[in-house]
Amino acid sequence: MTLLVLTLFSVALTLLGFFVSVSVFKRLTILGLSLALLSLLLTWGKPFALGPYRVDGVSQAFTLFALLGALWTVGLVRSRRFEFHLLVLYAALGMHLLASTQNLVLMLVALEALSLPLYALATWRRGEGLEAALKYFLLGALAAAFFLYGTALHYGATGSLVLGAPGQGPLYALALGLLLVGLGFKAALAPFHFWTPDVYQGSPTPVVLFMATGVKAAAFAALLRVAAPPEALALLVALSVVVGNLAALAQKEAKRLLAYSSIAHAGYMALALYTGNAQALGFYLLTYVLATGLAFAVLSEISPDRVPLERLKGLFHRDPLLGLALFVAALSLLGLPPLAGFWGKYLVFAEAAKAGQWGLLVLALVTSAVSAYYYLALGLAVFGRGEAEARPRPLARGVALLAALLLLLLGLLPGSVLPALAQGG
Amino acid sequence: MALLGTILLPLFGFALLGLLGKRMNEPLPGVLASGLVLASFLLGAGLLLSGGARFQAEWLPGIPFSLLLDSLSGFMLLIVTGVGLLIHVYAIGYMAGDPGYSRFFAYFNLFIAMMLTLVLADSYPVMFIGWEGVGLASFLLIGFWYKTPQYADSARKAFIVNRIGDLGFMLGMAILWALFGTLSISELKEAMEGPLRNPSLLALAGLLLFLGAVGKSAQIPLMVWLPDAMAGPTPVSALIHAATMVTAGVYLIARSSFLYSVLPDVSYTIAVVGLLTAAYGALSAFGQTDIKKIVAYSTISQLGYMFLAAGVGAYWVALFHVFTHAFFKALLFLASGSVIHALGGEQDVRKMGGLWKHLPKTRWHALIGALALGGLPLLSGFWSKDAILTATLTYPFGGVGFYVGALLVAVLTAMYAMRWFVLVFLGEERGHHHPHEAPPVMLWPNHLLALGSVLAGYLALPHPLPNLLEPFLKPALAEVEAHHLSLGAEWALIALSGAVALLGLWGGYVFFQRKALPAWYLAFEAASREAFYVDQMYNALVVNPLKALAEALFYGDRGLLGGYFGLGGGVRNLGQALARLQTGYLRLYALLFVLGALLLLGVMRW
Amino acid sequence: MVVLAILLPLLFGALLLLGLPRALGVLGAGLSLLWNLYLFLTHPGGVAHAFQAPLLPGAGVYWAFALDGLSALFFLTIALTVFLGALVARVEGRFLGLALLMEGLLLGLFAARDLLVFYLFFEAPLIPALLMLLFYGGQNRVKALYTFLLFTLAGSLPMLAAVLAARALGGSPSFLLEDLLAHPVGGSAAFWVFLGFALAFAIKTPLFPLHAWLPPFHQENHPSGLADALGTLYKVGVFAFFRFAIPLAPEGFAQTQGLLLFLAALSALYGAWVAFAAKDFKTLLAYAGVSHMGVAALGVFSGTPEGAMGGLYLLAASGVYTGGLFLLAGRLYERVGTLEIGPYRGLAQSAPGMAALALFLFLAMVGLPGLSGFPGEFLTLLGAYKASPWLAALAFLSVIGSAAYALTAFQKTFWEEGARAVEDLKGSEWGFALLSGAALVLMGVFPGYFLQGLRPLAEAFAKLLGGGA
Repeated sequence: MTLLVLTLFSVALTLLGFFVSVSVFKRLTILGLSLALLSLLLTWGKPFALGPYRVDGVSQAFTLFALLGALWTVGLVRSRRFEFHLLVLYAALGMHLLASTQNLVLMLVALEALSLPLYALATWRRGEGLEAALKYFLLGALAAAFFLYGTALHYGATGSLVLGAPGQGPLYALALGLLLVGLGFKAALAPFHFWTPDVYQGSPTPVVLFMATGVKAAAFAALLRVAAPPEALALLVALSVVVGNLAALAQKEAKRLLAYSSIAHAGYMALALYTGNAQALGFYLLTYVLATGLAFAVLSEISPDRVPLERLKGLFHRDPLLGLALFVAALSLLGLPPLAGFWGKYLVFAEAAKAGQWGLLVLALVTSAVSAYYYLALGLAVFGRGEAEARPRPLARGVALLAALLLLLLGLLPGSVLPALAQGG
Repeated sequence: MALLGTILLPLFGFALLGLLGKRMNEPLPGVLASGLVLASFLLGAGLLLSGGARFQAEWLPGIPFSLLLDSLSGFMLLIVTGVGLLIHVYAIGYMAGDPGYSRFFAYFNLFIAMMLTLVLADSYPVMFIGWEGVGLASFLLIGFWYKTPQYADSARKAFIVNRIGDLGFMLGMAILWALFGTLSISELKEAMEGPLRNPSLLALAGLLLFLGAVGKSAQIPLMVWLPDAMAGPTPVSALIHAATMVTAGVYLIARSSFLYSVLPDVSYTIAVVGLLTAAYGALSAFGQTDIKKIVAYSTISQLGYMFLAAGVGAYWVALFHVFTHAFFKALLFLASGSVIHALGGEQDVRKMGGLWKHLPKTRWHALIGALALGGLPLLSGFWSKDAILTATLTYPFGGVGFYVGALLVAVLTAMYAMRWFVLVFLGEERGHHHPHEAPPVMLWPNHLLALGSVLAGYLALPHPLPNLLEPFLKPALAEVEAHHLSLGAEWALIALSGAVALLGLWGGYVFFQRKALPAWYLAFEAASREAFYVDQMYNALVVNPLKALAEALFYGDRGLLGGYFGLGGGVRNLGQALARLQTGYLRLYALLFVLGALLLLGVMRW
Repeated sequence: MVVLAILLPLLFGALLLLGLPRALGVLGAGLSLLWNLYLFLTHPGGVAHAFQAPLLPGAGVYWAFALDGLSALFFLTIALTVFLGALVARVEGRFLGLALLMEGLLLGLFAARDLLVFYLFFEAPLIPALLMLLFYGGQNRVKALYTFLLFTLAGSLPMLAAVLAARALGGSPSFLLEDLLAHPVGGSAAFWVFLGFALAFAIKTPLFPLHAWLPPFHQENHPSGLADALGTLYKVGVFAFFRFAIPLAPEGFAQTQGLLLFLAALSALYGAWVAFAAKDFKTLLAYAGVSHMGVAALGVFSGTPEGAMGGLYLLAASGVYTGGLFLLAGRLYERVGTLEIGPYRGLAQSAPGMAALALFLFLAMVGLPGLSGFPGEFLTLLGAYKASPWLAALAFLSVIGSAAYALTAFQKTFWEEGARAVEDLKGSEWGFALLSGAALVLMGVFPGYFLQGLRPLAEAFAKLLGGGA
């Protein structure tokens, strides 16, 4: 269903784009994404399979996050060109596909389907954006090569292109390792994170929002299906939480700061991969998408470009709602109860505990204590004295309020959505 | 319940006067306060006559609020409320016109309530309530005229020095609790019967309790607060810093006699401290120029005598001296108060003299007080001091050394008592005052105290004359076997001490009327005036270093925070270094990517 | 019942944040006090008013609250202190709203019967505390705020690992306290689990040398003292050690007891000593708080029933008198325009009521028998002596220090000669004075009554540690 809706709209809108005005086009895109969302919700909990395309709990939940991110991006952007919306739609399609298959070849296709539009989106602003997009593209190609190698070796080791096929031996392990590298790149796990800060900083803020939410959700959906070797996972987690959190301390620009934050969060999420508990990971992603999306949404109301922390000062006095929303988002990212971020952290950490990964767990917790410093810097900046400029649109304010309330509500009643997430993942 | 009433009556007075006293006119607060003390006195006396009483209520877990009225506490109760009543009445006149009139009596009643709690307590923590409570009342009354910074300092000093002793008291209780699981005095007394379980720890407990007594009773080395405490109004000095509160330490030892009687080493220590303090106080009294400070040092000295008695095991003798001392010392203070009152606030004895003809009644009070203090035979001080001297020879923890020391101090005592009297009342007038005798409300208490100073000693006369006090107190005190001197020896000693006292009194009378005093004496006097520089020494060696250390720690604490900031900065620098890897060069990124991938493959278990 | 007690201040706090008038907050604090007083007076003993509802279905996490003798006592003192603050602190409605929110969260903390819910309520008050400091703090508030938050989180986030481990390694089916107690963590893991808890709680106690966040926190908070009073109530480390850390990993506690006793004793002495050099009320009270919490912690660490009772009673009592002193300092600030000690002096002349109240509060803090500070202090001494005579002696040197700093501050404010006349207590301040005075006296004179619910808990605690009653 979802696939159908997304494909139809992608094709139809590609043709329509040349005939209708941009604002109409935007509405149509939103309509398409909303319909996809609706179809997703209508079939919630009902598995569906068609060849290598398999919709299960994981796919549904993670597609949901990706679609939410896409919707938010389209809603936020002030683009005068219809291609922007179209590219988002393409990418969303790719994300859905990536989340809904265990077939490596289809995964590769999906990966490219979601990446190529993003490369283009990243160049939306010329100059710095172009350079960032180029890095993204070239490194992405490298990662794709790794993934491809992994696919080949996987086939060699197991005789199957479907993940989860029984296998053993060094060849199989090598295959899994290489697949991990390829997907780890998309998820912005260290040490494959180098593109993240540059791209986040150089790309338009709504695009970054999409990368931080949709791409991450899709990548983790795929990662869930790879039986990652624990030692490799440990390395990724440890490097991600350390590099992400420590490097973020030194940042003075909000988007770059959030880029490092997203690396750290990828590290936390990867903790759930030990047990492969999609429910925990799903909840984490949900809170992460809401919080980081909210943060980027607020930033994009200030400027689509760089936002040094200095420029946030006074936002609360200019627009209390936006200011508070950013504050709430920062605290949720930090994981302070009673905000939803806490439960996300709790759930993935509990998975690490189940897996007996105490060392990693403590490392993750200690570094997240460190992260308090920069989240505070971000969250408190809005209360400072200054002349923050913001020209928020009513819709953006409404969505910001909604997201902030959701963060609070999910924090108080995590049990209300948790059971619905990724059943049977 | 009635027993509790003796405490509640003055406590009610405190609450009433504290809350509403400002709206009352003089002398209503004073009359009210005195009336409540009288009521408490009558109630206590009645209960004592009816054979004692007990009271118990829940307080701390395992530690009930228990009171006991037996002969010992009854004896103290009568002193506290009896002498207290007289001084209350005196204060009605003395404090007249003071803007803090009602506040004064509120504090005074608080003091009586707390002092009664102290003496009636049947458990150490309950005693501690009173112990600290009287300390509080003392603090408030020393600092009664709080506008003068020096007075306020004195009040604070008294409280803090007392706290040192109180810490000893608390730790002593902790040891007893750990050893016996109870802090009830009655129960401890029972538990102590039979063989000692842990004598060395018990000795430590005894020493620590004694440390409490040292603080409260201004013994060496915690005696420095008492002279400064004279900053309070004179009735305060009479009631709290002479007659009652400062003797609480002696009472504590007597109450704990069941403990000390089995701890010879600790008892010996007490006696030594007592004798040293007696000597120190007497020597320091010579150089004082403040009329009240002379009496204050004499109090320190006399308290030393009491500890000497308690230390050698003669607990009833110590209490006997508490009793007589309460009269003559209160009398001395109140007479001093009348002098100060007469001279409009003058306290410097160098500006007095020749008051004999101006104060026709107070002069007799002062003379009787000084002679009783000096130990003139047949006055009360003579009998009790003689009992102490004899006890140093007859009681088990005593010795000839103590006797000789105490006898020498007795000479000094007689001399400085006369110095005080001579400087104030004899010779020529050195000030320019217009002295006027005190009003009757101040004279009558002194008449009664003077009577007591003469007669109190007859309560316990030496063998074979009747001794009423010892058998009365005996049931409440530990049995200590004293050997009896032969009648001849006993009376020879009495004669000796009488002669010594007379010698001292006469010597002092003559010496201090001389126009020019010898140089050696002036040198001694200069040192004595500074109380042999103990205060200065303490300030230099203890107080100032501690204060300086507090400042140092205060700044050090900021350094600690700075250290944490440094740690945080270090982490941040690390982050900066990591962020610096992000050079923007694609070549480097690709290289690191591949290296990272190799690393990842490297850590995997193959 | 319990849930109502928790929700009541939360609700009023939320209403005030929405802009409703301050008077409503006073009403809310008053209702909360009355309700908690009712709960305390009618408390039947044992664990009462239990409430339980699933929080994370299937994951063994429950909204579980109940009132035992310990929580009931703290409910009362917390509600009382907050009401006192609402009564006299002249702050705007939103500030009071934050205070009420924090009250509700603190009540939740003391009533929690589920470790994870406790964790939730352990962290959550950070947010209102942080906002009070941020919106109403002094010049250097941002630095103080970072210090406060980073210290707290540096302890509490690693503690989450201990929370998870307490359940996972002990094999408990849920985070419910009784389940966890039935499955304590043993062996070498106990040490690490306990360490995780201990670090967080030591920061919150605070124990030397982890107290460094406290002085700036108080110095920079609003001069009215309302935030400081709440901050004082938030120092729940001693309680948390007693209820969670030690019972959940007794073996781990046994291995570290010596060190903890030492740190507690050191804090007691150090705080008192440094307080003497403090130049203003906030700093003085901050260090005095370190000292008192050191004593309270010493009691709990002693592992004896007396010590535990004493430490917890001291914690409860100190909330009232230290909170009261912060509020009083706020009243002074309003009159003389500074929190410094010494520039004015002689206020007893013009404001005798205020002087009397200050003396009462200071004396309670000094531990004068008959007032609320003494029972806790004394029981702590009795217990601590059994555990370690030398450290008990070291810690209780602070009774000398406390007399020194408290009376010095009192003298330099209310005694001596001052040029300035100020207004005496007036209006609601009399209510503050009478109510806090009554609390100090009642808690000092009838400690047995307030401790009766605590006693069985303390005895069970000691038994768990092999001490026994």
